[in-house]
Amino acid sequence: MIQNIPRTHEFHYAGIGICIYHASKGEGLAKHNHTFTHANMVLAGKVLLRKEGVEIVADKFTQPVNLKPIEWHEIEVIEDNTVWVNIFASEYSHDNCPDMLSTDLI
Amino acid sequence: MNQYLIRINKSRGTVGRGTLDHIWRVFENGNEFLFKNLVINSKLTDFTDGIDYSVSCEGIMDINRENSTCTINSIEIPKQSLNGNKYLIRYNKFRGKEGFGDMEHIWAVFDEGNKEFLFKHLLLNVPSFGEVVNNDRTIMDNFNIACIGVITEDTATGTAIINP
Repeated sequence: MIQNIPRTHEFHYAGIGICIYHASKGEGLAKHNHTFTHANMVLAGKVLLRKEGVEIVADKFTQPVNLKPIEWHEIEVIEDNTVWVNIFASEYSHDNCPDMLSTDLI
Repeated sequence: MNQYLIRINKSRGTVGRGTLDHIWRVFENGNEFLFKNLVINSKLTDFTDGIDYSVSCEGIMDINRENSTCTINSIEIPKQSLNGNKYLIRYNKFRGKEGFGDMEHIWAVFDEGNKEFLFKHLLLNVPSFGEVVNNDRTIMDNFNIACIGVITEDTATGTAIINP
């Protein structure tokens, strides 16, 4: 079972959202999906990246992986001191409320 | 009465996400509102959908567009504490790291001496409000739910209970 971890850093720059995760073996992000696409890139260590019909081991030499909208995926860290980055459009950072109907700026 | 979920607007300052001062995201029946100021005249608890962590309350939202303030009033507004201490509450983003509690310790409560206490859940039986200590979007931003009261802990559930 993957132990979900919080983002170590999150910031938004010129419309891009960047989430950086520092994790140990067994940690990661358990199976989930979003309504938006995002890229996943490992900077150090090693992860098992799973999505529908696909399981790859990714490390710093692996081409960044694009995760499609709605497609389930999970990230399991298999090496201590792993660091990975998720990159997405800032406008979707409010996505984790899938039933959200509108945004009103007051 | 509606249920409200409240979180920090981490993408504030970007297109469609308000100014850097639009700190508070308030969700009402699936609609999101972005505010600069927040006042909660209702009991407050924590809520998670497994991904995001919010504070939650029930009531009716009053929107002041002049000063961008959200006020949520419950039918029975909790009593203000007359002789309690002030507490600041925020998400424990370092949880799981050494010295910052385990992964279940979602909430950090700070007393007036800035001493930190970690809890799994929250129950505020007093009014509360949003308080900004530092609004630097890139480093060390510091947004809190503030309240005045007397704190106890339900050790069975790890809940911080703040009463008048």
